[in-house]
Amino acid sequence: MSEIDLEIRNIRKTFGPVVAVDDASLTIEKGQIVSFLGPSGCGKSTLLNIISGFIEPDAGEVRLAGEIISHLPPNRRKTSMVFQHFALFPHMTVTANIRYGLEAARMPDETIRERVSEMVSLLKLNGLERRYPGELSGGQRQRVAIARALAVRPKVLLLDEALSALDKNLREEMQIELTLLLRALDITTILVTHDQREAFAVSDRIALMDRGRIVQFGSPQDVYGSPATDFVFKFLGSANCIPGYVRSDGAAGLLALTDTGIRVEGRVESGRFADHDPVDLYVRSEDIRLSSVPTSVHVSHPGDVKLVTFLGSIYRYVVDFDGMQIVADRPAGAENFAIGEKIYFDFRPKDCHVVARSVG
Amino acid sequence: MSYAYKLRRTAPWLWLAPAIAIFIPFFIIPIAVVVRNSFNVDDPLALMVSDFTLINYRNVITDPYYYRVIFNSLWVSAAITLGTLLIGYPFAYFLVRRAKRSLIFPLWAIYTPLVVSIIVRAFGWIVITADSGLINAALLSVGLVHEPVKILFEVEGMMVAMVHRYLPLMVIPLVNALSRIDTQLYSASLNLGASDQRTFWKITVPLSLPGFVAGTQLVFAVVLSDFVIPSLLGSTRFRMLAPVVYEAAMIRVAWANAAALASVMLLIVVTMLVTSTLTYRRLAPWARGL
Repeated sequence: MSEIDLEIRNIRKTFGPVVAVDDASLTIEKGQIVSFLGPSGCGKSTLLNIISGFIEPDAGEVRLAGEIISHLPPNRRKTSMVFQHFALFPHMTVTANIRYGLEAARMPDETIRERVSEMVSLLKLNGLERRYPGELSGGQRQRVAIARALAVRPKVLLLDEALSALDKNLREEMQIELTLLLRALDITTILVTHDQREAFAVSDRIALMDRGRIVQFGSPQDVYGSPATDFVFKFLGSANCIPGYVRSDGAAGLLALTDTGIRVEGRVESGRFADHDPVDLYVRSEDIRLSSVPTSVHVSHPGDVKLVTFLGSIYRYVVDFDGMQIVADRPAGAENFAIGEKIYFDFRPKDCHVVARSVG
Repeated sequence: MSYAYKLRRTAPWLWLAPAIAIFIPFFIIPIAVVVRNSFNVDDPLALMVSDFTLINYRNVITDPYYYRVIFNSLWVSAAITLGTLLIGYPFAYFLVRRAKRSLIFPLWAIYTPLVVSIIVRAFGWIVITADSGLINAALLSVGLVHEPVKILFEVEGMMVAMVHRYLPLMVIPLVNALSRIDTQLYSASLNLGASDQRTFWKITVPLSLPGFVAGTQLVFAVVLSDFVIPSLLGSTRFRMLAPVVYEAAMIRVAWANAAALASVMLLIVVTMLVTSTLTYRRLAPWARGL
């Protein structure tokens, strides 16, 4: 068990009637990269601002290396933030931006110069030292923002949607570069993002947030493979929703069978639902396979292929099935179907997620 | 070439036509005439004789009276600029940083000098500052002084009135510059360990430089050529440039002399604008894109 670096306990914050963060607790080990992932308004940014000290929580505490820091003002915390739009000081050169925090800490000039040149080479800013932020590209600004935040040697680095301001290609490049850098520096990092791919690409642990609560905290494999709630399942990946009713047949255990002729054996735990309960089956588009013959799951009439989209590494099929649109992502080079073909679905019972559906 | 294409190419200049129609005949040409007149010679009989001489400028520069007047005007302009800055900066800072939602009322307090006629306000000042005015009546009745304090028609009274009148010219550009500062920069500064004071001096002040430059240029130029306030509230023992130009042109009917004085005034303002702009560009190369 590694040493615990950052700990938040029972944090709560309300803005008027809105509960922004609701009883959030989390423990982050030294050197871990953690993402706060969720849709906008889920409280992830509020929680980050509570850690950095810009927002005061109504209840709960933040501990950094065992020491309670939640009562300290932001300028006395050993946390560094990379802001969403970088917040570089426009009237200062790259060097002056990096120096800023070191000067505020009244470090000797020699140390400052060493630190700055270290950061410049670490983030490959050589040659840009005397430029102003207005003369830099988006990617370069991002590097300066990271250099400025890291120069003060923070205990925790906080990234507030810091990659989302970049173009897609640059963003993916920066994700890789940033991850390598953070691992090499072994610095505890929290990344706030609404982008699932980004969270998966960089983090050791993901905290999924929904309406102010941390609903699941675990490795990317954990949260994707065993989602703790319906929200987590639906938020991660693109899920198809198939409505139906529970049918139990005694002998084969329990069976969820939709009213459209899709049956899934052994997926519903006994006691969770009664016979004839309305349910929604959620299946991720990449878990759906297609077949030209009936499958164990799909026993009734086939659906029609309505649209085939080539997305590079995958083909995306949109299939009309009794008025429902089912999306299936298949690797390019797997089975091929054309528009108008009659096809059947298949998926493994363990890949679907059964949720009670409220009727009326 | 299609008609639409032609229109698109010529149209941008058309937008400038109304401005040019006013600007050239009523602004550029009169100034050119004044500058030309400054090289003529005043004549007691023929009013003004066409010539090309620097004699009027020599008179203006060598005469201790004019020398004094120019110095007075420069001194008052600098003092009023400093005064409006010292009052205006904290005011603008308060408006932008603290009073975001209730900006309307304090802004109106600042705008009133712009919307109330200068004559009305000058008489208001007279009522308050005259020997028998409100201030002196109060001081006398309390017994703080035994005879009225001279405020009206003194330099000090005139300067207070000028600070009041020209404060908006300083505050408005400052409010504009301060409200353009991304508030995340303050957060970033705090986050990097800087105190509020350090943030103010290292972030707020330098980034409000564009407003400071605009405000300073406006106030300085306007005070230097102010005619109404020095005429109505100023002292006869402390002459300012614009009333002296008026006197030369309208009372002494020495047009060439007046034109030379006016040209010197114009030259001072232009020099001030150009040097301050150049200095500003050197000091703040980052501000060009703002």
